[in-house]
Amino acid sequence: MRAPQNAGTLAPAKRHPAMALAILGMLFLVIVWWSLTLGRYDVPLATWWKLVLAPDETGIPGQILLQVRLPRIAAGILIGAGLSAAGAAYQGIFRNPMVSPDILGASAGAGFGAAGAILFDFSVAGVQAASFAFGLLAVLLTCAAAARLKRAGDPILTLVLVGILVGAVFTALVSLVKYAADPYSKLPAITLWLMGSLAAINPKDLAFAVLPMSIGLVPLYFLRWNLNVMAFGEEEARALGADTGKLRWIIIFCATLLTAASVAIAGMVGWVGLVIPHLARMIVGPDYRTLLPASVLLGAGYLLLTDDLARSVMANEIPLGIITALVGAPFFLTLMMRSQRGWV
Amino acid sequence: MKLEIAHARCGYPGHPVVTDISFSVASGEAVYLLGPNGSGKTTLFKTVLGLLPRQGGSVLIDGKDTASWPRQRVARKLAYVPQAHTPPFPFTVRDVVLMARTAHLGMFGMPSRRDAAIAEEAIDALGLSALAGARYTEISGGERQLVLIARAVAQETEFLVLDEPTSNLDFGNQVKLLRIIRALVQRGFGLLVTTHLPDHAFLCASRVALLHRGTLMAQGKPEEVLSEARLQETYGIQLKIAEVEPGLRVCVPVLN
Repeated sequence: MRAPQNAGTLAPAKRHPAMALAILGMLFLVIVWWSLTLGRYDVPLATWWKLVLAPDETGIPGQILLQVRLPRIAAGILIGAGLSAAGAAYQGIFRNPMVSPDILGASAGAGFGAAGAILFDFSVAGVQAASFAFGLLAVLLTCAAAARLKRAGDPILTLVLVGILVGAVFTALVSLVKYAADPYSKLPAITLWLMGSLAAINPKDLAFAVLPMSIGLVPLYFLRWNLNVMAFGEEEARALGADTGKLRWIIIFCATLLTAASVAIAGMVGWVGLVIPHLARMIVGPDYRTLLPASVLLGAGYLLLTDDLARSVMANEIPLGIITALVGAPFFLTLMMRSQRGWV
Repeated sequence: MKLEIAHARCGYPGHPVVTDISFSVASGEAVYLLGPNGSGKTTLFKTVLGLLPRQGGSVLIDGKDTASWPRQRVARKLAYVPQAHTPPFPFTVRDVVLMARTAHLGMFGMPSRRDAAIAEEAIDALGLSALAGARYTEISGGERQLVLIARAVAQETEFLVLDEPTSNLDFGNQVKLLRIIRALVQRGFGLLVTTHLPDHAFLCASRVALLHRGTLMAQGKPEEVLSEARLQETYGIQLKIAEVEPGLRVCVPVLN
């Protein structure tokens, strides 16, 4: 009998999942508070108190908090939580720790849908719908092509490669949209938006995003035990009594909806859906009962921190997608090296 | 309790692999399914488990046809023990066994304390308590096979279907597994087991079914079905069967 090895990984807190979640929750609240106070316009503590008691009398500081900083922070939380939950769900359903919204082509598809919708002056809801439709189309194309290539060898690698191919097609289509766009008005808008940013969030956009985010997040939360079972593969999950046909579609639908809603309000924010589930798995272990809530808390906190960087490092805002890639990719490489088991 | 396969035709539309096979497994017996590679064992297996749609005939549990049963109802009667494998994530042994309780949960359900206790009991029953907190991906192949049997026990079914449970094990672990199969039969489970080794059937089988090119060549008591002549014909090799002591038979291939 061999003792479990922990070499090179953070010690898994599997025995105390509630404790791990509580610590992550507190960390998240600290980040939220810090993000609220951070900004070029200093808001004294007294104003916060007034904001709670009498929101109308707070003047400009209150306006900044209510109209600018709060919506931006709420959007950051939603997007971080949504992308991380989507990544964790995709990894479980495809039994593949290397997939994420970016790698399956979902982000690129959603990006194309949203860019096209911006080109044709769609409403906020229209951008959301187009983003979801093309995000789902991209994931379905990836699944279908990978299923046909089942005999090509390593299924993990096949899915990743097919996803990259589908992503490339949609990225090319995005370029086509940019090429067709008016270079003085539409092109800068689409380009900036594709780089990912929370700078332009207003309360109305936020309201439109809350609904699809909830429709995606709530079922995933309640299906998290089944995500464990699905990680054992279609046949075994069915033999264990899971209704895999139904589960598969619900989970893919929810994860894609989360991705598309994020892309529609904040553009292409890459790497979050791959890095955060891995980090969460290192901290709390692979059991989705704790992994999913842990991914949500970590993802929300991570995105807030990245956005804090985006709005405070330089005089001009740095697009969010640039920071998540600059931080996320090397961070992921470090995680893989530390894990010593190849995939985390 | 009885699992009956009646005139089953299994395979894929337009491409039958197994034709007109009938046999049954009762509680408290182990039925061994033998046959060369490609004889249709796996296809038959998956059809019995309801993982492949059947092309004809029926699978009955206590006289009732399972064709229209929802997945979960089948999973409460039949548990599947696949060959030891490696899932992509490092679940603990305890988590892997607990997965069995899915057969008794609603779609949005979570395992309760009672489910955890049932899983723990199954882990104990297979002598795995020391490994309960270990990562399933890091234990040995033999240990993994035992964990999968513990999972099937925790599923609380009447029948277990085991796919070549000894195929990836060293000699010592094979014997350990044969002991466990006997113990499961004594506990009252009905077992359907595939194997490539006639010796294992001699040791553990209540009855044997010999599959060859998609049809049943023979079925009955191991010493009747597994005769020298029949095994030579099925596998196309020379072999000898000897009775080392009363009731203990072995099968040895002859190389020249």
